Amino acid sequence: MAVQTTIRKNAYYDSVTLMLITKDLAKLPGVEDILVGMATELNKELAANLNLLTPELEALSANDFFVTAELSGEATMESLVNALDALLSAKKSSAGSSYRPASLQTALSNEPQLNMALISLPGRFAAAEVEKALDAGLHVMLFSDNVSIEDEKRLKEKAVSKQLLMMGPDCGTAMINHIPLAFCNVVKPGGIGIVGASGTGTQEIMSLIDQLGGGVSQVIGTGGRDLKSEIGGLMMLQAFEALIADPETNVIVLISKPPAPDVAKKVLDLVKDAGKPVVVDFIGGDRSAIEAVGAVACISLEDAARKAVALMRGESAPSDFAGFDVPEADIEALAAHEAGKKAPTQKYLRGLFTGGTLADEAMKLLGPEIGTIWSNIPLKPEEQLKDVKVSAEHTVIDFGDDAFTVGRPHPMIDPSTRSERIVKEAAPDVAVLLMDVVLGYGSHPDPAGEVAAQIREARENIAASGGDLTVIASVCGTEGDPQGLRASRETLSEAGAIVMPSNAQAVRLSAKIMKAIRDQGGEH
Amino acid sequence: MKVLRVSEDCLTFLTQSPGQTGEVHSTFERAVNLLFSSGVLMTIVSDQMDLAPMTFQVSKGSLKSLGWHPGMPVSSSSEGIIIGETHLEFSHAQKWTPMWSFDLPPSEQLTRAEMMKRLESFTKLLLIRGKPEGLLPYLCEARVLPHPGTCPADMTGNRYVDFIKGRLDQFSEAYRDGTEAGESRVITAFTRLVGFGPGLTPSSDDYVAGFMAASIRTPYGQVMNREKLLKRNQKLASRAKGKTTVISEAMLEHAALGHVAQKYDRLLELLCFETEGDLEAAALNALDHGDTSGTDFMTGAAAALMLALNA
Repeated sequence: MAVQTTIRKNAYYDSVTLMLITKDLAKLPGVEDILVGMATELNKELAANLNLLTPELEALSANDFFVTAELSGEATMESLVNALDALLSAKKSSAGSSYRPASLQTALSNEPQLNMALISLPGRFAAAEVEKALDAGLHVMLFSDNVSIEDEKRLKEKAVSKQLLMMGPDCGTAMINHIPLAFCNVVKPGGIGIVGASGTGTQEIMSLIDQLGGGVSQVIGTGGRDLKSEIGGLMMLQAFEALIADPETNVIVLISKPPAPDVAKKVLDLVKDAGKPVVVDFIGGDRSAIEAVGAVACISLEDAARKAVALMRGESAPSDFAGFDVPEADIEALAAHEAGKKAPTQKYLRGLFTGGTLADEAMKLLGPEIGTIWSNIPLKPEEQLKDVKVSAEHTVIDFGDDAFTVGRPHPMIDPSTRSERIVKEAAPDVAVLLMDVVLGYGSHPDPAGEVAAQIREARENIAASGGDLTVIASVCGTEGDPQGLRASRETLSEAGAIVMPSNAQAVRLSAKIMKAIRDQGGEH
Repeated sequence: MKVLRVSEDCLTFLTQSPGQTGEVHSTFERAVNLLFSSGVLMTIVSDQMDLAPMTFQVSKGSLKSLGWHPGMPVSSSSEGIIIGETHLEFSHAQKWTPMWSFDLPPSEQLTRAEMMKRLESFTKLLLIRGKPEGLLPYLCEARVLPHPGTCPADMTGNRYVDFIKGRLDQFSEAYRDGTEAGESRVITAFTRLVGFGPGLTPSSDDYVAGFMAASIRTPYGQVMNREKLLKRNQKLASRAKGKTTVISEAMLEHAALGHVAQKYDRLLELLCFETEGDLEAAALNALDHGDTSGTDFMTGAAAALMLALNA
């Protein structure tokens, strides 16, 4: 191994650039350790302390920029410098090539044909900007959270009065006229329109529709609070009406956690006059009310996708799908095989999710099978984890929850918090690790690759103590996504995970393995 | 392109020292630094950025598109600045003066207990929302500070904090000593930490800037009378010459006098004086400064105020 340094005399890069570059360079193969910064005396002292000081670095002054690294294998300083230049020029071109107006007004005066604004500001500033956009006649997608419910109601009432969409606040997924917005998968165009009050729930359904050969016309997000009584489902109703009127949409899918009863009634009343098949997934909600108005109820996100695709093809809605893509006997054999490898101490399941709705679905499907599930987003208040950083017995964690994201990117963008936890969960009493990997625009460039090493390490740690860890994953995404569905699944398989075709199937397999473990003498 | 707003010290500089020459020092997307031959650094920011000492704001979103580059000649007149062939006149610009509430009658100021409460909620927010890659973990590891309460479980230090925390302890402790011996100790401690850490303004400099500015502002637990403290701070800042970046040297010079960026200024007012106002909004706004700079500045300010209120 060799320590080498590259320098830029009197070069200044802003702090954000420096930090991002440091993180990217540290990930390059053969980079054992790296320090990037301005060559002040104390930073040189730190370099010496880390065994990264070189004569070149020693000779620099405080206004010089340096990169010093310990390299191994094939890595050379030349390749590191090339990577550095590529990162710097990528940042430069991304900053310089796109038009970045300073205000909404400037944008509209330069591009008067604009009809939609995507707003992502700290919540306290967002409402004022949404108001300006609506006043200018723009549809709005509001990515920001921390907007008060009073502001949400007022802004949505204004949008409705102007026949505009106001998706959000906290709306992370939409696809309008086939243009993906924020976290969104690349799907084939088709006749299924989706209105979703749940980000990853919507992504799971649109991805599965694509995998099943169907296509999507529009995806309209509403924000998670839209179906509460305070808001009254203003945007769910507005979007629903828009899809009813949309000639390209033949089947409509509505997704939400169970709405307030008064809001559910308003939405379901509209189903009666829709004139199009409507699939309703009020995740875990009352199916009799849905079926009473002629809509199709579902038992999982996957079930919703399967029913929507069948209806789109002119078939009648199939019965509830509670099974697997492969024969049940194969699944039973797999469950027995996995259970058979477990040590007597291994009796718990841990679910580590980046998608909140996928975590929620997992708990709803698993609860009846395995009993109490501790969580940071529990189904029952008494199952709240005391410390979200420490799992207990059966635990399901949503890493997208505020407890993990304050001051940090969402785990779909930066999965490192979840990746680190995977290794920590490899304890002697854990038998099954369940997880999601979400692809698409907005997500990490290689979320499967990000967890692969940790999956290997977790399995090796358990194996070293005489046990066996079953890792079950599902990938929410499509072949058209930048990360590639097949490639992501292969990465996970190669790391030792069992990859299932949907979140629901991954959860059901986990439940079967847990049952097989209990049947062979373990406890839970 | 118009000059929209200008800090008061820029105007003073132009009035007192017209006809200065210099060059463009460094350029960024939304900021350009000008370095005059007298050693004064002046910054131009885009219309999306807040003001800071020795800064003026122009009616442009991106400054890169102006084609200014390091080394380009710059000169000053009593009316404004000339960069290449661009004249930037200050006559219609709005003047910004940092807030100073020292002279408020006691009845309108925060009580010590109220200030302590504000500091506690600010520190809690800082620990949750701050960026831990710089010096933030020091708050949980410092030997000389009161423990801030609950530290996030993943706040376990980093290579920078591991290296510098002993020196930060020495600095913080020595700064609180108002004697002559204390002055000598604090200067030594300062020279042992200036210019350290990641960033264009290295983390330790941001920390010290926050520490000095907050120590000047605090209405309770002052180290010494404000005039003397300003002089001592200036001595400290002068020791930074050549030990850190030019940009950081300028920041420390201003902070020594209590002059800080607009968003920091607002935060310190809310921590030390104002009884009304949204502390959380001001803190989040201040955090969004550079990469770790906002967090490191606030870490220094929190440390100084903790020591002052517990004195």
